[in-house]
Amino acid sequence: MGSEEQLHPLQEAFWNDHGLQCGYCTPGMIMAAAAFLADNINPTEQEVRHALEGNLCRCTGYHNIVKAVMDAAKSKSATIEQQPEVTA
Amino acid sequence: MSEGGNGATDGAPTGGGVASEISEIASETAVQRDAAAPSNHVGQAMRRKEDPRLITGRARYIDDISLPGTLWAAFVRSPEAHAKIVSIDASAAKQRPGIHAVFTGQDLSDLAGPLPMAWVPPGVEVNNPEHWPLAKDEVKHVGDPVAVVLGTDRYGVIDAAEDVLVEYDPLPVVTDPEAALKGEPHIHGQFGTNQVHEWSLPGGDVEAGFAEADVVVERRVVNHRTAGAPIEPRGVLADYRAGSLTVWSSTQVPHFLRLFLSILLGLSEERVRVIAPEVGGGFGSKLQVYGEEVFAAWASRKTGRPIKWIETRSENMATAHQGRDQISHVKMGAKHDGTITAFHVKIIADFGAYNMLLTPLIPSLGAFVMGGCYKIPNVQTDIVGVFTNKAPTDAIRGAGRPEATHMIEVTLDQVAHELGMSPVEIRRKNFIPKDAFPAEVATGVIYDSGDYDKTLDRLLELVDLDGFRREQEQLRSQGVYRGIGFSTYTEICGLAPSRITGPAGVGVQAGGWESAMVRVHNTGAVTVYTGSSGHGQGHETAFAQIVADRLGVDPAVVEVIHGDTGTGPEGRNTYGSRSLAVGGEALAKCSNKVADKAKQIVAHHLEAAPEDIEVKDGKFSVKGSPDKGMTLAEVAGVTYVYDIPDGMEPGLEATTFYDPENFVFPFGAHACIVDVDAATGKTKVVRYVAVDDCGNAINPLLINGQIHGGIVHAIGQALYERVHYDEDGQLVTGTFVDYALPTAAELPSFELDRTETPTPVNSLGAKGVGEAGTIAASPAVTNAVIDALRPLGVNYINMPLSPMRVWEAIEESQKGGVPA
Repeated sequence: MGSEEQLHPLQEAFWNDHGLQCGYCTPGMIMAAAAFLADNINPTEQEVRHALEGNLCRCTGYHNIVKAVMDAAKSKSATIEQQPEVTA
Repeated sequence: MSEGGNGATDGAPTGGGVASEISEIASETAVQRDAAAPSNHVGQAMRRKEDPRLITGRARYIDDISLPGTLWAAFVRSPEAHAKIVSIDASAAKQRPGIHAVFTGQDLSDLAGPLPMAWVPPGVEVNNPEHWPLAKDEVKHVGDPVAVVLGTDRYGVIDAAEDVLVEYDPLPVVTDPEAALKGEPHIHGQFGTNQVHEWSLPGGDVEAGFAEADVVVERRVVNHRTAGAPIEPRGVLADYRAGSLTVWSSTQVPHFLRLFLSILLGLSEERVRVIAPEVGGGFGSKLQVYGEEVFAAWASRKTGRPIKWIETRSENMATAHQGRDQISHVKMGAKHDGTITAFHVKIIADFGAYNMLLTPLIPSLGAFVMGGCYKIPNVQTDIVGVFTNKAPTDAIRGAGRPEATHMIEVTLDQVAHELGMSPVEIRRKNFIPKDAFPAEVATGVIYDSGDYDKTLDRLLELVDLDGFRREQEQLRSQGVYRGIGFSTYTEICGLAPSRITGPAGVGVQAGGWESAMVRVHNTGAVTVYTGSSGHGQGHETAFAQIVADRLGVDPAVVEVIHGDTGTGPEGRNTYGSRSLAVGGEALAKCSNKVADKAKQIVAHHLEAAPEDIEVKDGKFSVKGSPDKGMTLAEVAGVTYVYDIPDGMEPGLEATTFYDPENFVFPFGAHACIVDVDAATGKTKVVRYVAVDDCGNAINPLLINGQIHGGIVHAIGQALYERVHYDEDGQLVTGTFVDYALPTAAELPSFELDRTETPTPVNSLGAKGVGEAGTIAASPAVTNAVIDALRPLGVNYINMPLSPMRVWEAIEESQKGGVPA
């Protein structure tokens, strides 16, 4: 994961989208989302919601967490798309 | 958010020596942000100042704080719901390695008194039993602590606690509040009754109102018990040394805790410092002075060692105070045209085993807004509080107001159905019109501002009701039961006005103002102190926005300090959606004081009149000559080298205590759309649309976050969550396996919008929003389920709308049963 100076796209997205309030569930949410996005770079909202099912949050109602994961996925896939295709 | 700029501004005074040096330092640091700072940060969806530490795992919660030499505490808790303590044998526990001491209730007899209950309503008798950090002779609910083991190892003390042998002599148990009111067993024998108190708020003449009515609808409304369930449980670290006590606690109320620790331990208040570190959610459950906190402080003094206790989830579910738990008989009368003539509510409120800090007050908070956003001339609430062998209840998000809204909004729909009116029509018919504000309502409070049609209009733009009805009809023909439910709510928050809430009014002993302190440093950086402490709400951001605008700086250079009684002035903490409307306004007023002084200094330097100086574009400039001005950093620079008008006091800081004239009354219109599976009873929220009005927005990002979380707290109650005790008083829902907090998978994303009707109560025009979503949402969900199931004959149903409950309601109706 990133540092305060160099945030990971998920950290940036949680910040931009107000994906956290008290912050207590946040490390778990970000790590769960990172593991999920590693397998699914272009998820649907429902896929994100199911992926986060094992992590509880009492503050956000999940709305902005889901939004942050979706936004991070978009920015991540955008980055990947921009990279030159590697040919064997 | 803009940063940068070269900082060196034209028109700055060129004071000599140290002043210019400080000015230079300032221009390289804080002041750089001044020049380009926008003048209006309030209203912007600024991302939070709190977040960098939270998203990088650098935040410091209670369990991250360690002191050398700490002894860990583990509580021995009663497995019985009601029993005499016959004996406690700690000999085996004491022989375990690393165990330092075992204490029982008798050891704490040097405390100055029992745990506090801070509500003393004038003219009302409240049965208030002594409640000690450790039970002395009897236990009254499962989880009641009877002993504590202290030792050097965090897990060793838990094992040792298992070795403390407590012999109990079980007593009869009562968990049903209606049964508890009827007679024995008595939970506190000295009162000869389980009744705690009776309290009424009559408004108008409900009997006359019912006499005028063409229809009268009566229902039994059950608002079941829920848990606060913050993701971080409670925790405390107490360190008494050299005659002073420092306590770190995961609390919403460090200032209250300091006061009561001082009283109970007999320590002079200046020798007690309470720090709320990062707090992982509260939802009211940390608005408390808990026995564990008092014990830790007492034991640190006793042993000379720091004492630390971190609660487990199971302990939290069994012993943190819980919420709701009311059974009400409601009666609403209306004329044929839908005009509501009277609303009478009789509440049996289950307080559990003890009165906590504000337990008996909670249902009364709902009584003040029992008429909702409607011009009902006759509204009466009668409350009876009851002891049962369950954990105590107290404030949980909304505290009395979600219960009130649920009764009003669900009953209103029942009346509409009786009259053949639509839920929208009956609401519009009864709304207090926007030109009636400030509006004194039947319950005696004065609603500050409102435009209820506007939020409902906007809601109906977002929800095409006619289209929905067509879709609903079509789906029903396919066996899909879809329903829509509305809730148009108002609530009472910004808990303060001392003249109403204080000893001379409602009788809360703690008063209700808030404090602020604004300190401008040499370089123009600003530190502000607030007596309201955040635990997720975004205080550090919203308050910085408010201060920044008034001092012409970027919020980035405004540090907000909260939750530490050793730093700022006396405070009154966080609850009742008060932080912004009371604490934020205190900071606004305090910032204005500092700005006024700065204007005098600027006027002195620029040879202008103070009244001609304005804060604009990051500068204190002369009206009409925007080039002529000084940044706050430049003002600070000259102030701290005393280059200020003759006779003026040095320094650039101020303190304010603010006690508002009135509460604030946010409002809004919510619609919930659900699908109910008639075969299994399972309900799914498919769409949720909310239009809220909390006055002027300080930060829309934070407002939406509060609304989202608030709605889910209420959806959780309506559909999933229930604290359940069996008839022996055993807690059935003691973990998150049995107590179903909503997860992301059950919920939709929400559609939110806002209108802005400013409050005249404060200069920000802002109302609270921390509880609004929770206050609004449970009746919207319930009304939606009823709407879905009407073709199956279901006309009424009580929460929780679990698949079993819904399925049973459908079955009953099919058999021609009566409403549950």
